[in-house]
Amino acid sequence: MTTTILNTTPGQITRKQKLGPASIIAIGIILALLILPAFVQGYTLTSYRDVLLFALFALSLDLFWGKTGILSFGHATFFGLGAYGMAIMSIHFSIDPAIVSLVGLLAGVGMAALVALIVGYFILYGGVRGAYFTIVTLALTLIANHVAVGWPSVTGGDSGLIGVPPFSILGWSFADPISSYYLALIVLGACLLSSMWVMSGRLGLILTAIQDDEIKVQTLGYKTPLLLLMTFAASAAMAALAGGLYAAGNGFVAPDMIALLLSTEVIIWVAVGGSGTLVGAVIGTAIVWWLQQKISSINASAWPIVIGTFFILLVLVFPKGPAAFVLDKVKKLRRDKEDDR
Amino acid sequence: MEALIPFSLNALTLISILLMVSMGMAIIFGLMNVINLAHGEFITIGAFTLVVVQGLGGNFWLALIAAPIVGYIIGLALEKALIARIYENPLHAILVTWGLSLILQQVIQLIFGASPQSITGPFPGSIDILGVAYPAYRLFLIAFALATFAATILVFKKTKFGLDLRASIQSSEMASVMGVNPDKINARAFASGAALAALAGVLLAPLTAVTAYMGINYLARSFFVVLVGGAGSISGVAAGSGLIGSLETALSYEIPTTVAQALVLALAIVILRFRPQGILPA
Amino acid sequence: MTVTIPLLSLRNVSRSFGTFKAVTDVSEDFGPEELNCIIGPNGAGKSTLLNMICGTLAVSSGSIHFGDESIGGMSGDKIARLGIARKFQVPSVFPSLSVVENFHVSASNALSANELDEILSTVNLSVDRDTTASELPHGKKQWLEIGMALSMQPKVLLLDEPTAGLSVDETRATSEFLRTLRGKVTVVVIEHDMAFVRDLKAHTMVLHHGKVIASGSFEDIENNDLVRDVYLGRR
Repeated sequence: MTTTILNTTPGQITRKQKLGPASIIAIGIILALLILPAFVQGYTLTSYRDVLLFALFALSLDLFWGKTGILSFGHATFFGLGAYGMAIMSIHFSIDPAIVSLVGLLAGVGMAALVALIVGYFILYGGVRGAYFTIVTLALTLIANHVAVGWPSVTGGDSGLIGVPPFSILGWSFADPISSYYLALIVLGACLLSSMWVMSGRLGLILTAIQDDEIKVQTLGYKTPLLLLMTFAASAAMAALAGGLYAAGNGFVAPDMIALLLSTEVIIWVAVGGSGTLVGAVIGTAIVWWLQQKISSINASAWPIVIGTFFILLVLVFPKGPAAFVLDKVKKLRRDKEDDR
Repeated sequence: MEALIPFSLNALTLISILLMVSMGMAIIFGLMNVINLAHGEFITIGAFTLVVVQGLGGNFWLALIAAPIVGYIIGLALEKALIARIYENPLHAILVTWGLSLILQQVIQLIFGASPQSITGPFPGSIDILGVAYPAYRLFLIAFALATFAATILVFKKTKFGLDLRASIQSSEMASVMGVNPDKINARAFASGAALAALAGVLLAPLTAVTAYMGINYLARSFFVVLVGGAGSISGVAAGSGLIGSLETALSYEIPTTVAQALVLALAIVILRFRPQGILPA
Repeated sequence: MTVTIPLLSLRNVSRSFGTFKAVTDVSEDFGPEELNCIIGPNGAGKSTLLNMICGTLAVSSGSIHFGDESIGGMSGDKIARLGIARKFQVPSVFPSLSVVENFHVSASNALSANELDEILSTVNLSVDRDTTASELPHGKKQWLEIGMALSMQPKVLLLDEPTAGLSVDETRATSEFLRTLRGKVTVVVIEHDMAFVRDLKAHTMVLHHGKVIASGSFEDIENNDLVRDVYLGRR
């Protein structure tokens, strides 16, 4: 049954909306980012590259949270596993430089997917959903952070590991800012478009149906825990991909790449863009990153307070996310205007 | 045999700590189904009450009285202002209490600074137990935690407040039919949970580094104590603390403490799979 | 569709709960040539019978056969996989999905455009194809759920009071489209509404205190004295 779900092309499902507004926005953003290096170079470009990788990380969370309605508070675990996988493979083992980046990336992504499968099996098949899932994944980040700090011989402990080589494959090196920027952009673009494509198909519909009434979906013959588990694992693997590329791009890993604050921040990136839209995760990351630059330049320690306040506002003022909040207001304004006439 | 005494005392110390930090969470979680992610910060608030009291020339005992009062007042204020609006949606509760937690951490750090605070515990020496010298303060901690636990059970079983509370945990609709005002009972229960956490903070302070982030270390553990024990049941908290505390102590003899903690949390996830209701459900 | 639909046949089916006999010695054949209707006052054992056919309840004695297969006591999901679909009394659809999307989720195999159009027109939802299910009126939710059952391409469709809460016009439309299913799928309907049953021109079986007191065309039933006494007579 799962194979037919994935094989069903979106074209069969929604023939009328082959190119929805979300995909047009996504393609527009990717095209705009393609020409960005014509205007920005050097160090600034590398920080834009990091934003792209964070956007990929946010996308991975939205793939699970936005589509299943279950919030993972532990996604930094997977980002961190990707980063540490890359760092540990390239620093502790003497692997042929031609393939070391690939091996590191595969190790990190594989570890993340494996952890997601194991933990996800215990909680999803245990019938744990909603708030419990959130809190168990939160604990997962704490556990992972404990291990990262408390196992210095492997992870470098508090100070992390320095000296991760730039991403390279079979002699192709992505060391300079421009090529590493394009690497990040291509990976992000590919993941974004393919996620949107898969989710506009039957799998996306079934995941929405599970949010409505999981029991009913089960009576229709779907193995709902399996579908949720696979989505979770795919999401974790994508987060690790972002983490691995981030470690290679910056040359180091540190415990704050596998910490609760990062798990928290990624939720905000997704929420600002509007969860469930996928492309919104990318936009949200860019907006929040820009805000963070502004606020941190005034007072660095104010940032966690801003995040905390945002969480409270998110629930009390705009539960559907700021994007939907603004859209609703605009719609209402327009309606009021029409009523006036 | 000689080695068994310090081991059991170490395990008892940890169990007592877990008992103290988890009781408040169990009440709030069991009653309102709210996972209070700011629970750790109430522990921190308790510890910093000790810092302030000692800074003003007061002693440990004064702080032990002051902290639960401070915790109760802050808890009551936050419940009225924020928590009362989010009971229906557990995810909202998580986001709001987490936001609260981040703000409280940062505010405490802005006021007191990032470096660990120095405080003095009440009993510096050690006591001989069957030929083994053991820190006196830890023995006091064990006795105090057991006393608090007993007192909480008494409040639960014998007082009007406890009866209303238990009725509400069983079924809030039934309780409100019986004339229990749910808003009042929720506010008082949340504040009491916060007070218990603050009390735990004072007791913990002499054993750990007192910083704005100290609470977070206890958040996940108290959550798992409650889940493994069974939400909403005070005896479940004892069972959960006993299991997690003794396991963690036993494991830390062989492997680094942080890794032992990680392993125990992982084990708790496995237990959830097979006993989703906890060991001793309400 | 040229699939031959096997006969659903009940032989001396009984079910008791403790000493209470909910269904006693029911023997009946349901085929695709006829629409089949089970009527009877409340507590006559209609739902118990339906529950035994779809495997929610085990039979106490007797046998239920679907073609050559004995399905009495088989588990519910196995029976569902043989092609016996059931629609419950309260409509359960996926509120956040559109009508078409609901069908895509319920369909056991990916639906072709033609199959989709056919189901949509069968259950009168062609104009509502892109409406979100939560915005449909109650009657159309009932139809949507019948459509979802049809999208699973069942051989037998069990309907528990499909007209509950429907308006007179909606009820008439329902009987119209159910009649078009004759010969394609075996339909077994539990009903209270006599006008609807008459409209349906179905093969009707009357249950009373768990026993079949009459069975035949609706005209036969209407003229049966015993049935008039226990059921129709009251109206």
